[in-house]
Amino acid sequence: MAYNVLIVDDSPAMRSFVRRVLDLSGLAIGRCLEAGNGLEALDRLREEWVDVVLTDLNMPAMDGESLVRRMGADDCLRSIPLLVVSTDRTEGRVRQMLELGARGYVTKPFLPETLREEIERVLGAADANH
Amino acid sequence: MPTTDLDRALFDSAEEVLENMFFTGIAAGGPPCPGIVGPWISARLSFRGNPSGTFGVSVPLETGRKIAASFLGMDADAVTEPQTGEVICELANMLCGSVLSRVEKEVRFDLSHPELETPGGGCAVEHTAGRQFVLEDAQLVVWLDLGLAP
Repeated sequence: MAYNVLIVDDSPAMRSFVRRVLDLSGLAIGRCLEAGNGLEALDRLREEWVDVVLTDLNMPAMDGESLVRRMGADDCLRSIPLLVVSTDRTEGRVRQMLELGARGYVTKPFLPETLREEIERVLGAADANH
Repeated sequence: MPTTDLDRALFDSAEEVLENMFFTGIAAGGPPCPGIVGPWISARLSFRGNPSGTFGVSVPLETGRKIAASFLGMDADAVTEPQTGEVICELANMLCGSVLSRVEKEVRFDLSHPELETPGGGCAVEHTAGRQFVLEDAQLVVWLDLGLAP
Protein backbone atom coordinates (compact mmCIF):
# COMPACT_ATOMS: atom_id res chain seq x y z
CA MET A 1 0.00 0.00 0.00
CA ALA A 2 1.35 3.41 -0.97
CA TYR A 3 0.69 6.43 1.23
CA ASN A 4 -0.49 9.77 -0.13
CA VAL A 5 1.17 12.75 1.57
CA LEU A 6 0.33 16.46 1.69
CA ILE A 7 3.25 18.80 2.40
CA VAL A 8 2.19 22.26 3.61
CA ASP A 9 4.90 24.92 3.71
CA ASP A 10 5.20 28.41 2.25
CA SER A 11 8.80 27.70 1.27
CA PRO A 12 9.08 25.86 -2.08
CA ALA A 13 12.62 24.90 -1.08
CA MET A 14 11.46 23.23 2.12
CA ARG A 15 8.66 21.41 0.28
CA SER A 16 11.26 20.08 -2.17
CA PHE A 17 13.50 18.99 0.70
CA VAL A 18 10.70 17.11 2.46
CA ARG A 19 9.67 15.50 -0.83
CA ARG A 20 13.27 14.34 -1.33
CA VAL A 21 13.41 12.92 2.20
CA LEU A 22 10.23 10.99 1.45
CA ASP A 23 11.61 9.75 -1.88
CA LEU A 24 14.75 8.46 -0.17
CA SER A 25 13.01 7.14 2.92
CA GLY A 26 12.07 3.72 1.65
CA LEU A 27 8.46 4.45 2.56
CA ALA A 28 5.90 3.51 -0.05
CA ILE A 29 4.82 6.98 -1.11
CA GLY A 30 2.01 7.32 -3.62
CA ARG A 31 0.96 10.84 -4.49
CA CYS A 32 2.90 13.68 -2.89
CA LEU A 33 0.74 16.81 -2.88
CA GLU A 34 1.88 20.30 -1.92
CA ALA A 35 0.27 23.44 -0.53
CA GLY A 36 1.73 26.84 0.31
CA ASN A 37 -0.49 27.59 3.32
CA GLY A 38 -3.39 26.25 5.36
CA LEU A 39 -6.10 27.50 3.00
CA GLU A 40 -4.51 25.79 0.02
CA ALA A 41 -4.12 22.66 2.14
CA LEU A 42 -7.83 22.56 2.95
CA ASP A 43 -8.61 22.96 -0.76
CA ARG A 44 -6.35 20.03 -1.61
CA LEU A 45 -7.87 17.92 1.17
CA ARG A 46 -11.35 18.50 -0.23
CA GLU A 47 -10.17 17.25 -3.63
CA GLU A 48 -8.11 14.25 -2.68
CA TRP A 49 -7.66 11.85 0.22
CA VAL A 50 -4.24 11.78 1.86
CA ASP A 51 -2.85 9.47 4.54
CA VAL A 52 -0.77 12.08 6.36
CA VAL A 53 -0.33 15.87 6.41
CA LEU A 54 3.04 17.48 7.16
CA THR A 55 2.65 21.16 7.97
CA ASP A 56 4.79 24.15 8.85
CA LEU A 57 3.35 26.61 11.40
CA ASN A 58 4.48 30.05 10.29
CA MET A 59 2.73 30.65 6.95
CA PRO A 60 0.78 33.50 5.32
CA ALA A 61 -2.99 33.41 4.64
CA MET A 62 -3.63 30.55 7.06
CA ASP A 63 -0.98 29.30 9.48
CA GLY A 64 -0.40 25.75 10.67
CA GLU A 65 -2.18 26.23 13.97
CA SER A 66 -5.37 27.31 12.19
CA LEU A 67 -5.04 24.35 9.84
CA VAL A 68 -4.85 21.96 12.80
CA ARG A 69 -7.92 23.60 14.36
CA ARG A 70 -9.89 23.50 11.09
CA MET A 71 -9.04 19.85 10.44
CA GLY A 72 -9.93 18.95 14.02
CA ALA A 73 -13.34 20.59 13.65
CA ASP A 74 -14.12 18.82 10.37
CA ASP A 75 -15.71 15.37 10.62
CA CYS A 76 -14.17 14.30 7.31
CA LEU A 77 -10.64 15.53 8.00
CA ARG A 78 -10.30 14.85 11.73
CA SER A 79 -8.99 11.33 11.28
CA ILE A 80 -6.13 12.30 8.94
CA PRO A 81 -2.88 12.24 10.93
CA LEU A 82 -1.04 15.56 10.95
CA LEU A 83 2.63 16.14 11.76
CA VAL A 84 3.92 19.62 12.54
CA VAL A 85 7.34 20.44 11.05
CA SER A 86 8.51 23.76 12.48
CA THR A 87 11.48 25.80 13.66
CA ASP A 88 9.54 26.65 16.83
CA ARG A 89 10.76 24.24 19.50
CA THR A 90 9.45 25.91 22.63
CA GLU A 91 7.88 23.31 24.92
CA GLY A 92 4.68 25.28 25.29
CA ARG A 93 4.20 25.44 21.53
CA VAL A 94 4.82 21.70 21.06
CA ARG A 95 2.40 20.86 23.87
CA GLN A 96 -0.23 23.22 22.46
CA MET A 97 -0.10 21.69 19.00
CA LEU A 98 -0.33 18.14 20.33
CA GLU A 99 -3.30 19.13 22.50
CA LEU A 100 -4.99 20.64 19.44
CA GLY A 101 -4.74 17.32 17.64
CA ALA A 102 -1.37 17.09 15.90
CA ARG A 103 -0.09 13.50 16.10
CA GLY A 104 3.57 14.51 16.16
CA TYR A 105 5.97 17.44 16.10
CA VAL A 106 9.32 17.53 14.31
CA THR A 107 11.56 20.55 14.81
CA LYS A 108 13.72 22.04 12.07
CA PRO A 109 16.53 21.35 11.58
CA PHE A 110 15.85 17.64 11.56
CA LEU A 111 17.79 14.63 10.43
CA PRO A 112 16.09 13.02 7.41
CA GLU A 113 15.77 9.75 9.34
CA THR A 114 14.01 11.55 12.19
CA LEU A 115 11.28 12.74 9.85
CA ARG A 116 11.00 9.29 8.28
CA GLU A 117 10.71 7.60 11.69
CA GLU A 118 8.06 10.05 12.84
CA ILE A 119 6.01 9.51 9.65
CA GLU A 120 6.35 5.75 10.08
CA ARG A 121 5.18 6.04 13.69
CA VAL A 122 2.16 8.12 12.77
CA LEU A 123 1.21 5.98 9.77
CA GLY A 124 1.71 2.80 11.80
CA ALA A 125 -0.58 4.10 14.51
CA ALA A 126 -3.13 5.13 11.89
CA ASP A 127 -3.03 1.66 10.28
CA ALA A 128 -3.47 0.02 13.67
CA ASN A 129 -6.63 2.06 14.24
CA HIS A 130 -8.23 0.97 10.95
CA MET B 1 21.17 38.35 27.05
CA PRO B 2 24.98 38.04 27.20
CA THR B 3 26.74 38.35 23.85
CA THR B 4 28.82 35.26 24.62
CA ASP B 5 25.60 33.21 24.87
CA LEU B 6 24.49 34.55 21.49
CA ASP B 7 27.86 33.80 19.91
CA ARG B 8 27.75 30.26 21.25
CA ALA B 9 24.18 29.82 20.03
CA LEU B 10 25.13 31.10 16.56
CA PHE B 11 27.92 28.55 16.34
CA ASP B 12 25.93 25.59 17.67
CA SER B 13 22.94 26.42 15.49
CA ALA B 14 25.01 26.82 12.33
CA GLU B 15 26.74 23.53 12.99
CA GLU B 16 23.46 21.69 13.57
CA VAL B 17 21.53 23.21 10.69
CA LEU B 18 24.30 22.88 8.12
CA GLU B 19 25.16 19.30 9.03
CA ASN B 20 21.62 17.97 9.41
CA MET B 21 19.87 19.61 6.50
CA PHE B 22 22.51 20.99 4.15
CA PHE B 23 25.00 18.14 4.49
CA THR B 24 27.86 20.60 4.90
CA GLY B 25 30.33 20.74 7.77
CA ILE B 26 31.93 23.78 9.38
CA ALA B 27 35.69 23.81 9.05
CA ALA B 28 36.27 26.80 11.36
CA GLY B 29 34.48 29.72 12.99
CA GLY B 30 35.64 33.25 13.69
CA PRO B 31 34.54 36.87 14.02
CA PRO B 32 32.34 38.19 11.20
CA CYS B 33 33.35 39.75 7.93
CA PRO B 34 37.11 40.41 7.89
CA GLY B 35 36.98 40.95 4.16
CA ILE B 36 34.45 39.94 1.57
CA VAL B 37 35.09 39.78 -2.12
CA GLY B 38 32.87 38.86 -5.05
CA PRO B 39 29.10 38.71 -5.31
CA TRP B 40 27.17 37.72 -2.20
CA ILE B 41 23.62 36.76 -1.42
CA SER B 42 22.01 37.75 1.88
CA ALA B 43 18.71 37.06 3.63
CA ARG B 44 17.27 38.86 6.62
CA LEU B 45 14.23 38.41 8.85
CA SER B 46 12.91 40.03 12.00
CA PHE B 47 11.72 38.29 15.15
CA ARG B 48 9.31 39.57 17.77
CA GLY B 49 9.21 38.32 21.33
CA ASN B 50 11.37 38.98 24.34
CA PRO B 51 13.82 40.08 23.02
CA SER B 52 12.95 41.28 19.51
CA GLY B 53 15.47 41.88 16.77
CA THR B 54 16.74 41.05 13.31
CA PHE B 55 18.73 38.14 11.97
CA GLY B 56 20.71 37.69 8.79
CA VAL B 57 22.79 35.30 6.74
CA SER B 58 25.25 36.12 3.95
CA VAL B 59 27.16 33.78 1.68
CA PRO B 60 29.10 34.19 -1.54
CA LEU B 61 26.71 33.62 -4.44
CA GLU B 62 28.62 30.57 -5.62
CA THR B 63 28.52 29.05 -2.13
CA GLY B 64 24.83 29.83 -1.95
CA ARG B 65 24.33 27.91 -5.17
CA LYS B 66 26.23 24.90 -3.76
CA ILE B 67 24.26 25.02 -0.51
CA ALA B 68 21.03 25.18 -2.50
CA ALA B 69 22.12 22.26 -4.67
CA SER B 70 22.85 20.18 -1.59
CA PHE B 71 19.52 21.06 0.01
CA LEU B 72 17.49 20.42 -3.12
CA GLY B 73 19.42 17.35 -4.25
CA MET B 74 20.34 18.98 -7.55
CA ASP B 75 23.48 19.57 -9.55
CA ALA B 76 24.89 23.02 -8.69
CA ASP B 77 24.94 24.01 -12.36
CA ALA B 78 21.20 23.37 -12.59
CA VAL B 79 20.25 25.55 -9.61
CA THR B 80 18.67 28.85 -10.63
CA GLU B 81 19.19 32.16 -8.84
CA PRO B 82 15.58 32.21 -7.51
CA GLN B 83 16.08 28.69 -6.12
CA THR B 84 19.31 29.82 -4.47
CA GLY B 85 17.44 32.72 -2.92
CA GLU B 86 14.66 30.48 -1.61
CA VAL B 87 17.14 28.14 0.01
CA ILE B 88 19.17 30.94 1.62
CA CYS B 89 15.92 32.37 3.00
CA GLU B 90 15.05 28.95 4.40
CA LEU B 91 18.56 28.67 5.86
CA ALA B 92 18.08 32.05 7.57
CA ASN B 93 14.68 30.96 8.90
CA MET B 94 16.00 27.72 10.38
CA LEU B 95 19.12 29.31 11.82
CA CYS B 96 17.13 32.10 13.46
CA GLY B 97 14.63 29.67 14.98
CA SER B 98 17.43 27.48 16.24
CA VAL B 99 19.40 30.37 17.77
CA LEU B 100 16.37 31.84 19.54
CA SER B 101 15.31 28.50 20.95
CA ARG B 102 18.79 28.02 22.40
CA VAL B 103 18.94 31.38 24.17
CA GLU B 104 15.29 31.60 25.28
CA LYS B 105 13.83 28.10 25.62
CA GLU B 106 10.40 29.07 26.90
CA VAL B 107 9.81 32.31 25.02
CA ARG B 108 7.70 32.13 21.88
CA PHE B 109 8.90 34.28 18.98
CA ASP B 110 7.10 35.38 15.84
CA LEU B 111 9.42 35.27 12.86
CA SER B 112 8.81 37.35 9.74
CA HIS B 113 9.16 35.89 6.28
CA PRO B 114 12.85 36.05 5.27
CA GLU B 115 13.68 38.52 2.52
CA LEU B 116 16.64 38.67 0.21
CA GLU B 117 18.90 41.69 0.58
CA THR B 118 21.27 43.63 -1.58
CA PRO B 119 24.39 41.49 -1.92
CA GLY B 120 26.78 42.10 0.91
CA GLY B 121 24.29 44.19 2.87
CA GLY B 122 24.49 41.99 5.95
CA CYS B 123 28.16 42.50 6.59
CA ALA B 124 28.82 46.21 6.40
CA VAL B 125 27.72 47.21 9.90
CA GLU B 126 28.32 46.22 13.50
CA HIS B 127 25.94 43.68 14.98
CA THR B 128 24.98 42.57 18.48
CA ALA B 129 26.46 39.18 17.67
CA GLY B 130 27.98 37.75 14.54
CA ARG B 131 30.03 34.81 13.38
CA GLN B 132 31.79 33.90 10.21
CA PHE B 133 32.08 30.22 9.41
CA VAL B 134 34.48 28.64 7.00
CA LEU B 135 32.75 25.88 5.11
CA GLU B 136 34.52 23.40 2.90
CA ASP B 137 35.55 26.01 0.37
CA ALA B 138 33.89 29.28 1.28
CA GLN B 139 32.47 31.54 3.98
CA LEU B 140 29.11 31.86 5.67
CA VAL B 141 28.31 34.91 7.79
CA VAL B 142 25.54 34.85 10.40
CA TRP B 143 24.56 37.88 12.46
CA LEU B 144 21.91 38.96 14.94
CA ASP B 145 20.83 42.37 16.22
CA LEU B 146 18.69 42.92 19.29
CA GLY B 147 16.10 45.69 19.36
CA LEU B 148 13.08 46.39 17.17
CA ALA B 149 13.73 46.57 13.45
CA PRO B 150 13.30 50.03 11.90
